Amino acid sequence: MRARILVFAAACAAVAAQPLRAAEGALGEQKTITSTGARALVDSCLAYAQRNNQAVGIAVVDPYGNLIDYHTMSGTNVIAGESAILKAKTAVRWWRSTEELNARVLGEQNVAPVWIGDFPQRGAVPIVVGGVVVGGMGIGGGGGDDCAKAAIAAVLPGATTTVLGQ
Amino acid sequence: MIRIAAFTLMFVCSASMALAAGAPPMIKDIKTVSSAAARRMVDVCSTWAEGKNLALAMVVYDASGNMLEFHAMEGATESAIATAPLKAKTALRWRRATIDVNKTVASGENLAPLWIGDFPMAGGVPIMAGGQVAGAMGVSSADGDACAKAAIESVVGRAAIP
Repeated sequence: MRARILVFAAACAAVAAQPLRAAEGALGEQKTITSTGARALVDSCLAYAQRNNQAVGIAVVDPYGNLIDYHTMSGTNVIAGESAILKAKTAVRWWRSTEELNARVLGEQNVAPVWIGDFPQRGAVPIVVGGVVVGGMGIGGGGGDDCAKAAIAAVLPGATTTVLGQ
Repeated sequence: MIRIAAFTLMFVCSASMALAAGAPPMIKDIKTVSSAAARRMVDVCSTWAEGKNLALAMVVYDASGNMLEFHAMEGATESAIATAPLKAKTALRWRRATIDVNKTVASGENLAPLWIGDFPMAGGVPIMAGGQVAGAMGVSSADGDACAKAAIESVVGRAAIP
């Protein structure tokens, strides 16, 4: 019994003596859209919507769903603004476009987004840089997610709206 | 008999016309902050905050409580992002700056804002127009009240601050 206790104590001491190798995984990094980048995306979408005679609400969230920039054009209804935010948050939570989520929900392939209070309505996409979701962009009241995709292509060359393997 | 009936009819008609002329209107116009003005206020507040090395989150609502514009400056905390809208809505609902609502709550004079789930922390300011609330601006964290008032004064005018 004493031997077992000694072995256990020795093992604990050995673990405690190991230095914390932070560089090997204690801390990670998350790429995220900046405040400036979010505003540029909103402005780019705003210009796209004006060119196409759309009146939309536009929202950009960071990878955690925090709202970073938002604009409602004159002439939009209440839901256009509110839903833009909900859509953007849903896209970053699922790492998918809400159009794709909508199809999965309607096809009963996966109804979970509805069960947990998400808003799987067409109009939002994740913003993906180097395979990592750095934010989400949602459009309410317009013609789907065209405005968001155009803005992302214009402001973040090389960024995509899909995560590989999803 | 006919004369009495005619007189009665004339009386009723004239009374109805008088009522219609003085009746309150069924439809009215309310003033509300425009989308363009909301963007300008956020830009002014951002510039104001940059000059003071502050990282703030800010929002502008229209007269009905719909979000028109939002911006989180680089470095704004999640709590700032979450509370700026709460402050703006509280200012809109109470038609006064949340710095003033906070005083009535802190002194115990009126705790109702807490009871009904409002957020009476300084930083929310209603935007007035001709005695009506045309919108509200909410700013978090530090000096939010001053930032919002500077923006409203710059874009809408000093008279818009209650």
